[in-house]
Amino acid sequence: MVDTIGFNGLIQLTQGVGHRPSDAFHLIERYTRVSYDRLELVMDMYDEKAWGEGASWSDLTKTFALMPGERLQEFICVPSEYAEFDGALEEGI
Amino acid sequence: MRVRNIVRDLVRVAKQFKQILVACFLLLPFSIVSAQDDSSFDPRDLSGVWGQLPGVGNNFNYGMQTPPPPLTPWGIENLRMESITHPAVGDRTATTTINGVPTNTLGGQYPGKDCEPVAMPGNLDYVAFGPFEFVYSRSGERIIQMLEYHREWRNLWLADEHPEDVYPSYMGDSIAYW
Repeated sequence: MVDTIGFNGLIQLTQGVGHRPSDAFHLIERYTRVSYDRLELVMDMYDEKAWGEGASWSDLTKTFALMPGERLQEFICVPSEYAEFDGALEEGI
Repeated sequence: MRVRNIVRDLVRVAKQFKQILVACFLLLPFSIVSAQDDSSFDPRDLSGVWGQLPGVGNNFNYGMQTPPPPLTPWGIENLRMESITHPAVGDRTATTTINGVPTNTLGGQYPGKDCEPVAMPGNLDYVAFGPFEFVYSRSGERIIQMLEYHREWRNLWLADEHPEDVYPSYMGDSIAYW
Protein backbone atom coordinates (compact mmCIF):
# COMPACT_ATOMS: atom_id res chain seq x y z
CA MET A 1 0.00 0.00 0.00
CA VAL A 2 1.30 3.44 -0.90
CA ASP A 3 -0.08 6.48 0.92
CA THR A 4 0.76 9.86 -0.59
CA ILE A 5 0.07 13.38 0.68
CA GLY A 6 1.89 16.69 0.31
CA PHE A 7 1.05 17.43 -3.31
CA ASN A 8 1.51 20.97 -4.54
CA GLY A 9 -1.84 21.36 -6.31
CA LEU A 10 -0.21 21.71 -9.74
CA ILE A 11 -0.52 18.14 -10.99
CA GLN A 12 -3.12 16.62 -13.24
CA LEU A 13 -5.48 13.93 -12.05
CA THR A 14 -6.00 12.02 -15.26
CA GLN A 15 -7.10 12.55 -18.82
CA GLY A 16 -10.64 13.75 -19.26
CA VAL A 17 -11.44 14.78 -15.69
CA GLY A 18 -11.37 18.52 -16.28
CA HIS A 19 -9.86 19.76 -13.06
CA ARG A 20 -6.71 19.55 -11.00
CA PRO A 21 -6.57 18.18 -7.49
CA SER A 22 -5.83 20.67 -4.74
CA ASP A 23 -2.89 20.61 -2.35
CA ALA A 24 -5.11 18.58 0.00
CA PHE A 25 -5.11 15.67 -2.44
CA HIS A 26 -4.58 12.30 -0.78
CA LEU A 27 -3.79 9.26 -2.93
CA ILE A 28 -3.88 5.68 -1.72
CA GLU A 29 -2.60 2.94 -4.01
CA ARG A 30 -2.92 -0.76 -3.29
CA TYR A 31 -0.62 -2.86 -5.46
CA THR A 32 -1.19 -6.61 -5.59
CA ARG A 33 0.90 -8.99 -7.62
CA VAL A 34 -1.92 -11.35 -8.48
CA SER A 35 0.27 -13.68 -10.57
CA TYR A 36 3.78 -13.92 -11.91
CA ASP A 37 3.11 -11.49 -14.73
CA ARG A 38 0.14 -9.44 -13.56
CA LEU A 39 0.08 -6.48 -11.19
CA GLU A 40 -3.19 -5.04 -10.03
CA LEU A 41 -3.53 -1.49 -8.75
CA VAL A 42 -6.57 -0.18 -6.92
CA MET A 43 -6.61 3.54 -6.17
CA ASP A 44 -8.65 5.61 -3.74
CA MET A 45 -8.47 9.40 -3.91
CA TYR A 46 -9.55 12.01 -1.40
CA ASP A 47 -9.53 15.78 -1.68
CA GLU A 48 -11.59 17.70 0.83
CA LYS A 49 -10.93 21.04 -0.86
CA ALA A 50 -11.94 19.79 -4.31
CA TRP A 51 -14.69 17.31 -3.48
CA GLY A 52 -15.62 18.05 0.10
CA GLU A 53 -14.91 16.34 3.38
CA GLY A 54 -15.47 12.59 3.31
CA ALA A 55 -15.94 12.45 -0.47
CA SER A 56 -13.74 10.05 -2.38
CA TRP A 57 -13.07 8.77 -5.86
CA SER A 58 -12.58 5.11 -5.10
CA ASP A 59 -11.94 1.63 -6.43
CA LEU A 60 -10.21 2.79 -9.58
CA THR A 61 -8.47 -0.28 -10.94
CA LYS A 62 -5.65 -0.76 -13.40
CA THR A 63 -3.88 -3.99 -14.28
CA PHE A 64 -0.35 -4.09 -15.61
CA ALA A 65 1.65 -6.79 -17.35
CA LEU A 66 5.20 -7.80 -16.51
CA MET A 67 7.52 -7.12 -19.43
CA PRO A 68 10.55 -9.40 -19.04
CA GLY A 69 13.61 -8.11 -20.86
CA GLU A 70 12.09 -4.67 -21.36
CA ARG A 71 14.24 -1.64 -20.59
CA LEU A 72 12.89 1.80 -19.87
CA GLN A 73 13.66 4.11 -22.75
CA GLU A 74 15.14 7.56 -22.54
CA PHE A 75 12.21 9.95 -22.71
CA ILE A 76 13.13 13.60 -22.78
CA CYS A 77 10.30 16.10 -22.98
CA VAL A 78 11.09 18.93 -25.42
CA PRO A 79 8.33 21.58 -25.71
CA SER A 80 9.10 22.40 -29.34
CA GLU A 81 8.80 18.73 -30.30
CA TYR A 82 5.52 18.48 -28.43
CA ALA A 83 4.16 21.52 -30.23
CA GLU A 84 5.17 20.07 -33.58
CA PHE A 85 3.56 16.73 -32.74
CA ASP A 86 0.33 18.33 -31.54
CA GLY A 87 0.20 20.60 -34.58
CA ALA A 88 0.50 17.62 -36.89
CA LEU A 89 -2.31 15.87 -35.04
CA GLU A 90 -4.60 18.87 -35.21
CA GLU A 91 -3.97 19.29 -38.93
CA GLY A 92 -4.78 15.65 -39.43
CA ILE A 93 -8.02 15.95 -37.52
CA MET B 1 5.88 -57.66 -49.94
CA ARG B 2 4.28 -58.09 -46.51
CA VAL B 3 7.64 -57.78 -44.76
CA ARG B 4 8.41 -54.67 -46.75
CA ASN B 5 5.14 -53.07 -45.61
CA ILE B 6 5.88 -53.93 -42.01
CA VAL B 7 9.32 -52.36 -42.27
CA ARG B 8 7.85 -49.27 -43.90
CA ASP B 9 5.30 -48.94 -41.09
CA LEU B 10 8.02 -49.33 -38.48
CA VAL B 11 10.11 -46.64 -40.14
CA ARG B 12 7.11 -44.32 -40.23
CA VAL B 13 6.37 -44.90 -36.54
CA ALA B 14 10.02 -44.33 -35.70
CA LYS B 15 9.98 -41.04 -37.62
CA GLN B 16 6.84 -39.91 -35.79
CA PHE B 17 8.39 -40.88 -32.45
CA LYS B 18 11.49 -38.91 -33.33
CA GLN B 19 9.37 -35.88 -34.22
CA ILE B 20 7.57 -36.16 -30.89
CA LEU B 21 10.89 -36.37 -29.05
CA VAL B 22 12.22 -33.31 -30.86
CA ALA B 23 9.02 -31.39 -30.08
CA CYS B 24 9.23 -32.34 -26.40
CA PHE B 25 12.86 -31.26 -26.31
CA LEU B 26 12.05 -27.91 -27.89
CA LEU B 27 9.12 -27.26 -25.55
CA LEU B 28 10.97 -28.29 -22.40
CA PRO B 29 12.40 -24.83 -21.59
CA PHE B 30 8.97 -23.23 -21.94
CA SER B 31 7.40 -25.76 -19.62
CA ILE B 32 10.09 -25.06 -17.02
CA VAL B 33 9.61 -21.29 -17.31
CA SER B 34 5.86 -21.72 -17.13
CA ALA B 35 6.15 -23.78 -13.98
CA GLN B 36 8.37 -21.10 -12.43
CA ASP B 37 5.97 -18.37 -13.50
CA ASP B 38 3.01 -19.96 -11.79
CA SER B 39 4.50 -21.05 -8.52
CA SER B 40 7.77 -19.41 -7.60
CA PHE B 41 7.13 -15.66 -7.69
CA ASP B 42 7.24 -13.63 -4.50
CA PRO B 43 4.01 -11.58 -4.24
CA ARG B 44 5.95 -8.91 -2.33
CA ASP B 45 8.57 -8.56 -5.03
CA LEU B 46 7.29 -5.97 -7.47
CA SER B 47 10.64 -5.44 -9.16
CA GLY B 48 10.71 -5.45 -12.91
CA VAL B 49 9.22 -3.45 -15.72
CA TRP B 50 5.43 -3.27 -15.82
CA GLY B 51 3.47 -2.05 -18.78
CA GLN B 52 0.25 -2.00 -20.63
CA LEU B 53 -1.99 -5.02 -20.41
CA PRO B 54 -2.20 -6.65 -23.86
CA GLY B 55 -5.40 -5.80 -25.66
CA VAL B 56 -6.17 -2.62 -23.75
CA GLY B 57 -5.05 -0.33 -26.56
CA ASN B 58 -4.34 3.34 -26.08
CA ASN B 59 -7.24 3.91 -23.72
CA PHE B 60 -5.66 6.60 -21.57
CA ASN B 61 -7.68 6.35 -18.42
CA TYR B 62 -8.98 2.82 -18.58
CA GLY B 63 -10.11 1.61 -15.20
CA MET B 64 -11.11 5.14 -14.23
CA GLN B 65 -14.38 5.39 -16.08
CA THR B 66 -16.34 6.26 -12.96
CA PRO B 67 -16.56 10.06 -12.81
CA PRO B 68 -15.00 11.81 -9.82
CA PRO B 69 -17.22 13.49 -7.22
CA PRO B 70 -18.54 16.94 -8.20
CA LEU B 71 -16.38 19.90 -7.29
CA THR B 72 -17.08 22.07 -4.29
CA PRO B 73 -17.76 25.77 -4.96
CA TRP B 74 -14.12 26.46 -4.05
CA GLY B 75 -13.02 23.74 -6.45
CA ILE B 76 -15.10 25.18 -9.30
CA GLU B 77 -13.53 28.56 -8.66
CA ASN B 78 -9.95 27.36 -8.41
CA LEU B 79 -9.40 23.95 -9.98
CA ARG B 80 -11.30 23.77 -13.26
CA MET B 81 -9.25 23.68 -16.42
CA GLU B 82 -10.22 25.50 -19.58
CA SER B 83 -9.60 22.55 -21.80
CA ILE B 84 -8.19 19.15 -21.23
CA THR B 85 -6.76 15.99 -22.72
CA HIS B 86 -4.88 15.60 -25.92
CA PRO B 87 -5.31 16.50 -29.61
CA ALA B 88 -5.13 12.81 -30.42
CA VAL B 89 -8.46 12.38 -28.64
CA GLY B 90 -10.21 14.67 -31.09
CA ASP B 91 -12.52 17.64 -30.55
CA ARG B 92 -15.14 16.83 -27.93
CA THR B 93 -16.27 20.29 -26.96
CA ALA B 94 -19.89 19.15 -27.14
CA THR B 95 -19.30 16.77 -24.24
CA THR B 96 -18.72 18.10 -20.77
CA THR B 97 -17.56 16.63 -17.51
CA ILE B 98 -19.63 16.41 -14.37
CA ASN B 99 -18.40 19.94 -13.58
CA GLY B 100 -19.30 21.41 -16.94
CA VAL B 101 -15.82 21.36 -18.46
CA PRO B 102 -15.51 20.35 -22.14
CA THR B 103 -13.90 16.93 -22.21
CA ASN B 104 -11.49 18.02 -24.90
CA THR B 105 -10.65 21.14 -26.83
CA LEU B 106 -8.13 21.01 -29.64
CA GLY B 107 -5.02 22.94 -28.83
CA GLY B 108 -5.93 22.88 -25.17
CA GLN B 109 -4.17 21.92 -22.04
CA TYR B 110 -3.33 18.41 -21.04
CA PRO B 111 -1.05 16.84 -18.46
CA GLY B 112 2.55 17.66 -19.15
CA LYS B 113 1.91 19.68 -22.31
CA ASP B 114 4.74 22.09 -21.63
CA CYS B 115 6.94 19.45 -20.05
CA GLU B 116 5.78 20.23 -16.55
CA PRO B 117 5.64 17.10 -14.37
CA VAL B 118 2.66 14.86 -14.95
CA ALA B 119 3.16 13.17 -11.57
CA MET B 120 0.78 10.66 -10.06
CA PRO B 121 -1.73 9.35 -10.78
CA GLY B 122 -1.85 11.04 -14.20
CA ASN B 123 1.40 9.47 -15.36
CA LEU B 124 -0.22 6.05 -15.25
CA ASP B 125 -2.41 7.20 -18.15
CA TYR B 126 0.65 6.88 -20.33
CA VAL B 127 1.72 3.37 -19.44
CA ALA B 128 0.57 2.38 -22.92
CA PHE B 129 3.56 4.34 -24.21
CA GLY B 130 5.98 4.27 -21.34
CA PRO B 131 6.01 1.48 -18.77
CA PHE B 132 7.23 1.89 -15.20
CA GLU B 133 9.68 -0.03 -13.10
CA PHE B 134 10.00 -0.68 -9.40
CA VAL B 135 13.58 -0.52 -8.18
CA TYR B 136 14.47 -1.52 -4.64
CA SER B 137 17.15 0.58 -3.03
CA ARG B 138 20.11 -1.15 -1.50
CA SER B 139 19.53 0.52 1.83
CA GLY B 140 16.15 -1.15 2.03
CA GLU B 141 14.50 2.05 3.22
CA ARG B 142 12.65 2.83 0.08
CA ILE B 143 11.30 1.59 -3.21
CA ILE B 144 11.90 3.80 -6.21
CA GLN B 145 9.24 3.88 -8.86
CA MET B 146 10.68 4.87 -12.22
CA LEU B 147 8.20 6.15 -14.80
CA GLU B 148 9.38 6.18 -18.39
CA TYR B 149 7.01 8.90 -19.53
CA HIS B 150 8.66 12.27 -18.87
CA ARG B 151 11.45 10.40 -17.05
CA GLU B 152 9.72 10.86 -13.70
CA TRP B 153 10.45 8.97 -10.51
CA ARG B 154 9.35 8.97 -6.92
CA ASN B 155 10.40 7.53 -3.58
CA LEU B 156 8.11 5.17 -1.72
CA TRP B 157 9.51 5.36 1.80
CA LEU B 158 9.09 2.21 3.84
CA ALA B 159 7.81 4.04 6.90
CA ASP B 160 4.74 4.08 9.11
CA GLU B 161 4.04 7.80 9.12
CA HIS B 162 4.57 10.87 7.01
CA PRO B 163 6.93 13.54 8.32
CA GLU B 164 5.20 16.34 10.19
CA ASP B 165 6.57 19.02 7.89
CA VAL B 166 5.92 17.71 4.38
CA TYR B 167 7.11 20.16 1.76
CA PRO B 168 4.52 20.44 -1.05
CA SER B 169 5.75 18.92 -4.27
CA TYR B 170 4.58 17.42 -7.55
CA MET B 171 5.02 13.84 -6.37
CA GLY B 172 4.15 14.49 -2.73
CA ASP B 173 5.39 12.37 0.15
CA SER B 174 4.77 8.65 -0.21
CA ILE B 175 5.01 6.02 2.48
CA ALA B 176 4.69 2.35 1.61
CA TYR B 177 3.92 -0.68 3.74
CA TRP B 178 2.57 -4.19 3.33
